Amino acid sequence: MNKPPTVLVVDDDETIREVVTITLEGEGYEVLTAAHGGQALKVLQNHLPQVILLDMRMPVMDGWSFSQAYQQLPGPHAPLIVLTAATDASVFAAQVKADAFLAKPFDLDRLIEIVGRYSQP
Amino acid sequence: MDEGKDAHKTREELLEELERLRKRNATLEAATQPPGLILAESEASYRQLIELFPESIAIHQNGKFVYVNDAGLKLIGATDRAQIIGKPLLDVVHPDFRPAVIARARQTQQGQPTTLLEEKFIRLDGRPIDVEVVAIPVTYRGEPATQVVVRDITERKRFAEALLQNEERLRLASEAGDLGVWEWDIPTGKVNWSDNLEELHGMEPGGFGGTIESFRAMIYPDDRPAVMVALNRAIKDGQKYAVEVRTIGPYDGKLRWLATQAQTFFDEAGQPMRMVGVTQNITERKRAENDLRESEARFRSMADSAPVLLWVSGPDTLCNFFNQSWLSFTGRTMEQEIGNGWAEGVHPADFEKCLQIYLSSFEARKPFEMEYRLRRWDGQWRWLLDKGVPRFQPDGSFAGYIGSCIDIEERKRAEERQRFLADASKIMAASLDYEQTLQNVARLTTRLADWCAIEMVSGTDGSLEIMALAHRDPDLENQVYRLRKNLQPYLTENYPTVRVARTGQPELFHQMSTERLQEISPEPAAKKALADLGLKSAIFVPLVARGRTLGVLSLLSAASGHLFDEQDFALAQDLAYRAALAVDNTRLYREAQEAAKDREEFLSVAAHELKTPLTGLRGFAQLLSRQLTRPETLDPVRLGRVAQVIQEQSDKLTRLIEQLLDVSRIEAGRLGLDKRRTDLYALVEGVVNLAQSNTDKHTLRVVSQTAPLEALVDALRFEQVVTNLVDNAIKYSPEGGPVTVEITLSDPQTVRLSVTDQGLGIPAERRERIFDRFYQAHERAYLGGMGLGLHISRQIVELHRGRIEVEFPSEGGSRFIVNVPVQAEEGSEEGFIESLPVLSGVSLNEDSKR
Repeated sequence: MNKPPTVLVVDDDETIREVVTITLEGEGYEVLTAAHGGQALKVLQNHLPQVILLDMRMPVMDGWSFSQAYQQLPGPHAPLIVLTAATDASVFAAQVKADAFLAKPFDLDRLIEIVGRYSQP
Repeated sequence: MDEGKDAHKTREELLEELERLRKRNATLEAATQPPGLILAESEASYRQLIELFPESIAIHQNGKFVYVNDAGLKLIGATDRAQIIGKPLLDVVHPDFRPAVIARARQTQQGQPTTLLEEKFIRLDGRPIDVEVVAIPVTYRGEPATQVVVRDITERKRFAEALLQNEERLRLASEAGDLGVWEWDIPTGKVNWSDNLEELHGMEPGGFGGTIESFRAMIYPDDRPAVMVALNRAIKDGQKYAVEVRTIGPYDGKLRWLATQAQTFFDEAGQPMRMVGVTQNITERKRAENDLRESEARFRSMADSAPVLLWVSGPDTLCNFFNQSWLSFTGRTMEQEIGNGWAEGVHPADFEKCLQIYLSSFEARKPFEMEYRLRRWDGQWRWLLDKGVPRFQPDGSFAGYIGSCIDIEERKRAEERQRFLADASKIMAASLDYEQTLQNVARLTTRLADWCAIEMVSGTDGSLEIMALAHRDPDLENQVYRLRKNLQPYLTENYPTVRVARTGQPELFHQMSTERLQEISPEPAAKKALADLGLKSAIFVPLVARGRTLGVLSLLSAASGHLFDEQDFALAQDLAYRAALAVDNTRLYREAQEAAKDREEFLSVAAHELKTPLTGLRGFAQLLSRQLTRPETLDPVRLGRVAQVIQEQSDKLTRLIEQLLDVSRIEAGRLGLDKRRTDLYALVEGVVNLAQSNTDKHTLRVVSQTAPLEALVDALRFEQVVTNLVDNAIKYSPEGGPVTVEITLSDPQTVRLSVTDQGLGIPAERRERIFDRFYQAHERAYLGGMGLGLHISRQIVELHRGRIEVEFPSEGGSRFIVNVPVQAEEGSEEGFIESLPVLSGVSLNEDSKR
């Protein structure tokens, strides 16, 4: 058996991390979480996720700062999927050169579908 | 006529002379009878006699000249006797007269003397001369010969001919018109005149007495002395007699004007003999002249009393008349103005254009209209409207122009004022930018003043701050600005702009006196700055919009020396009115823009915030339905968790919606308080305990020296404030740490609540606005919530007549301090619902700063 694909969820809202984790784990993904950009960078020191789900407005280190720092890291980069309120989603996604965006509030089917698409090797 | 007489006399003289000569000759002839000596003697004396004779005398014998005296040589143009002696007689005779000469020669040969004959000779130089000749037979050297006495009458003949022609002309003239000819024989006093003179004088045909006395009687009595003087002068000194006299017709009794010209003739002794004259009836001309004079007098009196300035020019373009109004206006004399003198008073800038219009219209003989400035007697330039029309004589010939001018200075100024205000409105409407509009207004105002300053009332302390300054000479702008800045510390109550801002009443300083300037400030430095500005005159007008004085517009005059008058003052007020509206509009616009931006930001934040709990809510609801589709995996624990999350998220949503409603109530002025006596210590403790139960990372502590601590507050609202501050402290300490809440009496009347954390603190540049609505201190490092918490807290505290402040301890973190009175102020009762006054919906920022 192959190792299941890993997804990193970066969001300051605990409830959202929880619902994403439950859903994706249900689909067989391994899910890592971080409450802000700083924590996410820490996680990335030891993991190479296939997909990163990124909220933009977060304390300590927001989505913009994180994506900037992430691009500086050596090695392969996972696709970024911006996870934010619909009004901002596409704008923010463009700002951080994300591969896709998922507007809040989102349907779980849509979450599964988009993560599935970007986690393919 | 008289020359005829002269000629006649001369002829007589000539004949007498001739007779004398003949008698003498006869004597001589008788003397030839005795022998030689006597003859020789007598011939010698005869020769001597005729030699000296003034008349030309010649002797010819056998058709040839044998003797010519000196006068004869001169007559014929010879210088030497040899030129003529021996020459044939006929050589000097004009061919037309040769037969006559041959005839009279033949007559004398037969011993017959001739009568006086007119002949024509040819001088040696070829010039023909008219001569009178008398020939007598003589014996010369024993042989018969002819002696002739010749006189040159060429001049006389020419004169006679000319006279004849004149006479003819005169006759024609007198027959054609009212022209009569007369002759006064002075020695006899008889006057002969042509027939038409009687009619000319208005008397019956043949009614003239024929004496100078009867002529005198006809003269209008007033004119008699002058006529007599002229007559006497003409007779005595031979002066030409030329008079215009009035006569009364003896027959018709009518008054006539007669013009007479006459010449006196004198005899050799200088005695006046005759006076010959021509008289003409000039009554019609005189009447026309008189009419003209009268009409001119009428014109003048009309022109002088006309309320307009009039000028008249001739066909040579030069002006020849200005009416009294013109002369009074310019304060100059007619002599100064006529010709081109008037041009000196025309403004140099307008002169060229005026001249061009005038001359080109003149050329085309067309009416024209032009406006120019003319210097008035007091040196002031006044705008005139000048309308010129060509004038024509009754016969249609061009006579020049007549022009009338009216002073349109007032109209012009009114027009300029209107134009200025129209421009002002346009310029002021051109920008919605506040500072730009102020600068535009200042710049525009330099059309009225040397420089203009706009000082605006500062929002914080009501002091005046200079916002715009414009000088006519942009190079001086900075200098003036600096001088004005130097005055800033001395803006006492007495400073005009300060006073105007306070009273809202405009002020005009027609002439800035030194004393007036001294009043402004006693400080030497201020005096110096004012002196350096060199103020001559000033206007200060308030900028008032919607009943509020926004600032003061100053119009200042220095170098130009212009003294502002009431009209400038009125115009400045009109301008200020428009400027205030424009400035107020830009201010409103800016505030509206900012409010709109705030709202947009708020909506964006609100959407984000509302969506966060909504995302959780929806996610868990979907998880629930997914589980329900797979009953075999139903897990009661998991279902409980789902229900709990749904509960929490809907609570969160409710709270957010509550906050939004609070803001809405604040803005509408409907946030009411239900004040009751409340133990604040217990209230704070409750909030802290609840907060502590939700966090493990933070250590919350309540400090108080007084418990219970009662105050008159709206318990629910106050709890909201404490919760907001505690939540913020937790939220802004994401890494955890202590949060200290202290509640004490800072004085017996005031409760002091402070919440201190050791978290992120607030960046210095953002601290100022943290109590503003929707404002978040950490723009991107976002910590949930809509930025409404502090805004709402502040409104609640202020409704309690309290204050909220923030401090930033040097060791980091923040301390929010709330002070509220223990009791409501006098007269306030328990349970009294207080609310904020209704605030203007558009000036939220302004109001929220209070």
